[in-house]
Order: sequence, then C-alpha cells, then structure tokens
Amino acid sequence: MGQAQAGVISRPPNNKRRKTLIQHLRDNAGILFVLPAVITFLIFGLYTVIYSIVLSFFRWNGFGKFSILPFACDPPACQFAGLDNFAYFLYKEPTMSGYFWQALQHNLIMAVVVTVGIVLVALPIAIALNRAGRGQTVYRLLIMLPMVTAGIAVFYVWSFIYEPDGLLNSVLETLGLGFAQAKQGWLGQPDTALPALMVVMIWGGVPSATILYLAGLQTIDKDLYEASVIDGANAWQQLWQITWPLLLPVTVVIIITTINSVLQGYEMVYLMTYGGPAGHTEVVGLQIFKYGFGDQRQLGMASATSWALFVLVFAVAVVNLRLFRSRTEV
Amino acid sequence: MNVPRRVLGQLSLALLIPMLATACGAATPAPQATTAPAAPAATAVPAKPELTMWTWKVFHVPGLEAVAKNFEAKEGIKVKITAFNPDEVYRTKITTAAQSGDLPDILSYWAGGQWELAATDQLVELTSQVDPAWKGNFLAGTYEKSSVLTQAVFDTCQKDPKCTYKNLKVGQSFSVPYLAGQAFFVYANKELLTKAGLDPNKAPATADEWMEMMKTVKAKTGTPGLVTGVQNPDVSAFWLFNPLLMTSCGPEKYDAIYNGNSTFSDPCALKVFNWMNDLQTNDLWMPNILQTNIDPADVAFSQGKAAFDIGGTYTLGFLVSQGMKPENLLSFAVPPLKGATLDKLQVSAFALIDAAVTKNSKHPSEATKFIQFLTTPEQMAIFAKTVGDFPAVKVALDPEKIGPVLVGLMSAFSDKSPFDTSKAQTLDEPKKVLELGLQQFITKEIKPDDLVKKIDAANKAAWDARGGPLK
Repeated sequence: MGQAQAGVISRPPNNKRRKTLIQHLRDNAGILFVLPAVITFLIFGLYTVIYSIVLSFFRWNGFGKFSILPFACDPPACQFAGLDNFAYFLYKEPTMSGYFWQALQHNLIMAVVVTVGIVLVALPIAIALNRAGRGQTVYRLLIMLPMVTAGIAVFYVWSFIYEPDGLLNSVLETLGLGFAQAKQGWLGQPDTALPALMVVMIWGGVPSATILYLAGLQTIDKDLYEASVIDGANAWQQLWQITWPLLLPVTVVIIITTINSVLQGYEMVYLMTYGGPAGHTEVVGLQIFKYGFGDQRQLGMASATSWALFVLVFAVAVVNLRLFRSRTEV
Repeated sequence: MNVPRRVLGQLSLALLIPMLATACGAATPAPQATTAPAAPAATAVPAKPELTMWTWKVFHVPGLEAVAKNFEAKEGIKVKITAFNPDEVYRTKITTAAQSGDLPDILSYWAGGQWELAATDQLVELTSQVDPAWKGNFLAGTYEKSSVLTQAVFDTCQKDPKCTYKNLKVGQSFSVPYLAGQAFFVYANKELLTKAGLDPNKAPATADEWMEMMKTVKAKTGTPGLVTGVQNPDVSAFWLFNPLLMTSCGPEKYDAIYNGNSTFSDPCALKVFNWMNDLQTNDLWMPNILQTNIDPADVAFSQGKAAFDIGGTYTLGFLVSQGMKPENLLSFAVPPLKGATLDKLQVSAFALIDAAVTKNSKHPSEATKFIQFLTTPEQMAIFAKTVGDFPAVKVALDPEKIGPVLVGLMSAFSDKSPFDTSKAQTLDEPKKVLELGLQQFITKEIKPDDLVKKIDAANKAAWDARGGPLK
C-alpha cells in the first residue's frame, strides 16, 4: 500500500517533467533548427579561423603533421616560430618587410581612390537614373552589365585595352593626344599601372553602388524637395542639404564594403599584372597567395600575413563606423 | 525552465563533440596510408594491381600513357595517369592529399623540390634501388645533381633555421628524373637578321656582338631586339643574368658571390649588370615587356615582333607549334661578355621533373618497377617523341625515334657545363632583390651601382641569419 501510494505520488511529477521537456523543446524548436547551421559554422568557420590563428605562430610547409585538435606539430616540417613569422615580414627581414609595407601602401592607395571614385561616379548615375522617365529599365540593365559579366573575361578585355597597341592608346592617337599614350602599355609602366588597375576596380564597383544609391533615393520623401524649392533652394543645395545627408547610411555601407574588398582582394592583380611592373601593383593579398601557394609553401607565414591584414581591415571598418555613426544617427 | 535549457545544451554538445572530433581527426593521415602493402589474399590468385600517377603537365599525359601502355603489355600492371594544373592547383592537391593519405602511387614533382616531401616520410627511399645500371641511363647533370641530396644542399639546410628537411642525409635519393631541359638558349629570327643585312647563319661570339646585332635590327627594320617572359621574375635572373655571370666571373667566383664569400659589386658581376641595363638604355626590349610572360613572349617572337627570344630546349617545340619554321631559326647559347673568364658557355641538361613513389602506395615495388621502366632509353624515346619534350635519359640520337628537333638540341649539349659542378646556393631574400632590380632596370628606377649595393646587403643579411657564408 505504501509502495502503491508512493507510486501514485511519484508518477505525477514524472509526467509533469516529461511534458515540460517536450513543451520546452517545442518552445525552443528554433534552436534545433538553427543547430545545423551553428555546427557547420563551428566546424568550417570557427575551427578554420582558430586553426589559422594557431598556424600563424608556426612554420609549416603543409607536408608534415600539424593539427590543433589534438595538437600535433612534428619537426622538422613543422616548427614553433612564436612571433617570428610576424616579425619577418613586419620589420625583421629588411627585404621582405620592405615588400610588405610597399604592398600595404598600394592597398591603402587603392582603398581610398577606388572608394572615392565609386561614390563620385555611382551617385550622379543613380540620381540621373532616378530622374529618368522613359527607358529607366534599359538604363538600369545597362549599368548592371559589369556586375553580371564574368570577372576573368573582364580582366582579359581590360588587359587588351591597356596594351601598347590596345584600344586606349589607339583612341588617344585618333584624338590627337598621342603624347598621352603609355608607350609600354598602361599596365607595363610604373606610373600608370596602379591607376589603370584602379579604373577597372571603379568600373567594376560602380554598378552595385548605383543600385544601392538608387534604392536609397527612392526612399527619400519627395515633399522634402518640393518644400526646398519653395524655400528657394537650387539643385546643388538640394543635393548637399537633402540627398547627401539622407544617403549617408548607404554611403557608409558602400565605403565599408568597398574598402573591405579592395584590401582583401588580389584576383584582379594576379590576373592582370601579377604585381608588376617591378612590384608597382603588388598587394598584400597577392603576397599571401605567393607565401601559401608558391614553391616555398610557407603556410604559417601566409596565415600571419592574413591576420595582419585582418587587423587592418577591422580597424578601418571600426574607424569608418565610428566616423559616420554620429552623422547617420542625427 | 532551467532544466530543459541544460538538457538542450547537453544535446547540442553531444551532437557537436563527435562532429568536431571527426572533422579534426580528418587532418591526420589514415593509418593505412603509411603502412606497407597489404598481404595478398590467401585463397584467390591476386589480381594485378592498378597504379596511379599524377603530373601537372597536361601535355605530358599522352607520352606517359604511351609508356604506361607498354608497361601493361609487359607486366600486366595498369598505370592511370592524371594531370592537375596549373602549378598552384597541383601543389595544393599534393599538400591536401599528403594530409589525408590520398597521394597516388607515383608522383611527378619539381626536380630538387622533393626534399620536403621526403623529410616528412611521404616518399619511398630509392637510394639502394638506383643501381649503377639504372644510374647510367641518366644524362650528366640530372640524377646526381638534383635527385641525390648533395653536400652543398645539406650544408645550406643545416645552416638555415627554417629548413624543413634537416633529417635527411647526404647521398639519399627519393626520386629519379624523367624530364630535363636547359634554359640558356637564344633563338634568332633569320628573316629579320637578313632584312637587317646581318648574316642569318652566324651566331654572335660575345654578348657585346649580340647587342650590336639587336641594335642593327632595330635601326634597320624598326623591330625590337629582344623578347622573353620578363613578367615572370625568375626569367631575367635565371635565363640571362646567371649564364652571363657564370661566363663573366668563372665557376669559382660565381659560387663565391652567391654563397656570400664575394660580392655582386665585383667588376666581373658589375659588367653583367651594366650589360643588362644597356638593353633598356638602348631601347632593345619589346614594348610592354614587363607585362609579357613566357608563352606570350614566345608567341610574340613567332609573330616577328622581336629579333631574339631567350628560352630553353622546351621553347623550340612551342615556336614550331606556333607556325615558325625550324629553318627560320638560329639558336645559340647565351654568349659571354667580351673579356669574360670563360670564352664559351658549355650547356648541359638539368633535371626538371622527377618521378617518386609515395609511401601511400600499396604496391611500392610495382610502382618502383614502373618508374624504372619509364626511365629506360627505349621508353623515354617514346615519351620524348610523343610530347616533343626533352628526356632526362640518354636516348639514341635517331630522328626516326625522337624527332629531328630534339636530335639537334641534344647534339648541342655538353657534359662539362660549369653549372653541373657549381655549388652556388641562391637564398630567397637576395634572389628577390636581384629579380626585382633587373625589372627595375627596365622601368629605369635603379642603376647598376645602386642595385649591386642592395643585393650585397640582402645577401649578407640572409647569410648572416643562417650563421655566415657557405664555405
């Protein structure tokens, strides 16, 4: 009886607990749905990031044993380097550090010029497209073309345009501007190679920026422009007093994404100049590629350089956000 | 409320830990990857194994397949050839396969670059298997020079804290060469020489004469003098600077300069820098030369855009494939400067591609048998004729067997090239300065006097970091 009583007494709490668990599983079903994505991220995202951080403190050519879980680093193919990888390209080895800082300088010049260039070209186009009445769809389609064209084909076409007997030099000759030609080709001369690459970057970045600006322009209340006309504002004042401030959040997005892609990118440089002529278009991304996939396979050095670049990209993004936050929040 | 959260957390962990362990575990080679070949089944007659071989040269596949077919006919063992290109993809493929234990039975690899693989126990040692008979097949300057770990390579490695093959010993061998070549050849367009009023059959005796020929062609025809794949930084340094330096300074001084016991500012070296700078000051390079890589340079030469092209044994076949007639070509080794220590550069072959048996192989003895078969003169002749490339083995100089073009090139080879006995070790850092500096001559950003100072500083710093010059 006592046992039966105890059974009777003990059953309800068990049922209650089971119900509660199922209930809570139902209530938190979202977590279970998200779990595969989280696990995927942990394995393919976080694990690789941690792997790369750890690797940046080692010398490893990719052949010997190196793993972080469980930890293994078998010499001589793998050696602990401490901060040596960072020191090597930052200051310790004069030749290699010289190349790194020169490449970084190219990255920074590109980041500033390309970002400003994209904003200066995309904004007027977006404003014109916003005002265009008939044929707006056709214009939008045309402006989107660089976005949907395969990068590798575009890079080769631009390379042909820049050759000594390419389209650009021919056009200059036809216009009677032969003195402005690049006799060694626009990518073959130290003074024109980097600007020539930046033109291609701007050309490639304008379409997406235009689309973003266009979307931003369509959210601006037309009453603001009508009111400003009544107040006697001209087109220039409308641009500076209404359009530009209200598009600032869009501009911030464009600036951050452009700087990010310019600082990290190397594909265009790899295909069009391979860092030449004589290192005048070398960028950090290309150096990372050469360290990692060149005949030396210095994977630790490639990781260390990647993390140095990450710190720079992160710092620039934070500065940008801080700089523009106060203005966009007004 | 607390209990279910904990349960959820435990559930998540339970799922996560095995997955992470599996993912991380994959980085470790499977145990079977490094074990000896599996024992044959006790009952059934063992089937003949099928071997796999990787290369990065797509156009070598037909040649290797032709040899594989003959091997199958003789031994009943099939060899499957697979190519992965370009070079970077092949390197990455090998690196990941080495980690996952998926390397093929036979691996093609850059000659002289195999030590890193060997040091990590990825390759079967062949030292005792390459007997005098097998060794005797190879051209002078190939097997002994880059397939056997030499004292000079060993010494440099021991001095370098970053060297990753310190566990290897002098005399060890893990691969054999099957492709050779030589890079110090100059090709001239006879039509252009004739147009310029020069003797199309007379090769220049000195580099100074050669430069005069370029100037004449430029003045008389308007066609630039020289083209080669300068965009690739190795080309100017390795194909042109090094042969000029070797003849100008002689083998001993050449080694001393690179090994940190002498300097690039030595007059014999400075003369070479001045000559290379003069190519630009006399405007002899083809326009856009710094944007021109090896194949585009050869294409430009075949289209008559320059009078001379620097290349190697492998260049001739390419030029012919681009439509150039062999009778329109004059070829000669890079000539020495006037008053050079050596009055002629003897050119010999050096190994370009080696074949190695990996420890992943379940049939290492069969794989070794295949690379031995591949490097017999008969099979190498078949390979050479099929692909038009230069074998690392002494083959019969018979146009019927290997084609007339290769016969011509092989006949011009010497077995006394100073590069065969050279012990020069080029370190990465000064090499970068040299390569960039030679490109900066073309952009007119540096003068020879300034460049030698920079290279000497980089060479000294690099050798100091390795404990001093190589003695």
